[in-house]
Amino acid sequence: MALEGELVVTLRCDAQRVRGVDVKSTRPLLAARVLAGKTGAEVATTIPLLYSICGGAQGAAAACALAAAGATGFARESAARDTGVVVEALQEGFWHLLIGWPNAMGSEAQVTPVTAARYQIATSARASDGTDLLGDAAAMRGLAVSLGKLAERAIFGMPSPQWQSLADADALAAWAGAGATLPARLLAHVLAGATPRHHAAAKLMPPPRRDLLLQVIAPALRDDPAFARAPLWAGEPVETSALSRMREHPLVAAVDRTYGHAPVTRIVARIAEVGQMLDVLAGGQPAAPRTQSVTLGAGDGLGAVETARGLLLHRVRLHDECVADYQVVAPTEWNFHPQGPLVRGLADAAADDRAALLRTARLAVHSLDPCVACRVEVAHA
Amino acid sequence: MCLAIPARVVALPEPETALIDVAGVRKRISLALVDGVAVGDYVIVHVGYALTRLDPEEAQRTLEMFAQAGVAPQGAQ
Repeated sequence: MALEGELVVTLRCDAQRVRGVDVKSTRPLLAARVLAGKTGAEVATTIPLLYSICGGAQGAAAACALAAAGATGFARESAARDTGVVVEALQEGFWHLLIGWPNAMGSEAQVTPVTAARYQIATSARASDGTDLLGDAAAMRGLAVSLGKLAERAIFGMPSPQWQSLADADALAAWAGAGATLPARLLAHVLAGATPRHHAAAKLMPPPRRDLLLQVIAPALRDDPAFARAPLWAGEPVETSALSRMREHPLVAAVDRTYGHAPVTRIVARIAEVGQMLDVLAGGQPAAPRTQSVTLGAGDGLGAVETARGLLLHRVRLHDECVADYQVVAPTEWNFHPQGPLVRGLADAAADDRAALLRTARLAVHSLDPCVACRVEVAHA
Repeated sequence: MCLAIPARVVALPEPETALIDVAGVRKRISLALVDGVAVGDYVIVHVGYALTRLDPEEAQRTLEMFAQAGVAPQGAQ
């Protein structure tokens, strides 16, 4: 077992179908142990060291939570913080579509555009003298142009606005069939195996507005000791992902009407969101803020950040400016909940062909993009 | 969630590939996303790819932090 823990998904099958899906997580919940007693400034320097791929989003969630709890030196709102989360999610988008997805489908990854995107981000987000440029609108517009060119070549195969205006699932299938980019070719394979609407799917998380964070999330964080490991939204499992954010996008909505909250719909949402994030980086208005600070009480703050994988929550309670308690609820906990979207999506899947079942399961896992390694096992009754 | 546990590079068996060691467990990873990695360096790894290279002091500080929290990659220290 890896030190950082892992997810193990066990598909319990008879000869025909999956009869049950178990998810076990061995991921350590470290935040409270590592951060107890630290000041806000120490939390801010420690958090990015703890987390690898989403260090920026984790840092933003911590800053939001600390500001909401009244810690000295943290602003409740920061445009640069929001931009940092968008830039990190874009980097994740390139990774996900050009490395993670082909790997999950047994195809060869396309590393070069990912390396180029990472280089552009590293050199545009920070000046050579170390100055942070996330708040510099001109630098971010320049980054949007360079990432846009990379995305046009490697992901969309056409200018992003043209892709965004594909009218429906048929137009998407035609784009996939033409196979101009690796994601198009992979999507053609996914569409070939996709089945129409799956009614058992978990609901999508509602847009986590401030009032809902106070009404739904705050009581759960306060009263439910199991919430951080197995969160429910008002008692129900929900999906938090690019799909939950992009459900209003015309093409995503059209694919959702045909296939439901399925892997293909999540992947289309993720492609669409790359285009949307490029627009935001170029100076467009985001549909909703990526980061929120919500005060829960005296010295008690919640930070909520829409990361590439979904909603990330940090809650901090301070005593004399030092951490008395710290909770982190990552998107993976919602999406790999024992009754959540992964489990519901695989329940009753055909199990007569073991190799095909494993391919289905790996695509489902990939589409929900866990932030740790995930192993899939098949057990026959 | 994506814990950034530093992994020590113990060999470079072929171009863009490293053998890493975390707590005595050895694994091959891709170096396609980072430049200039040498044997003895520490890297942060995500699903088979090195994402960042750490200087040894930073890696040591991070390893000590994980050790204090009960996630102790002994073999990597």
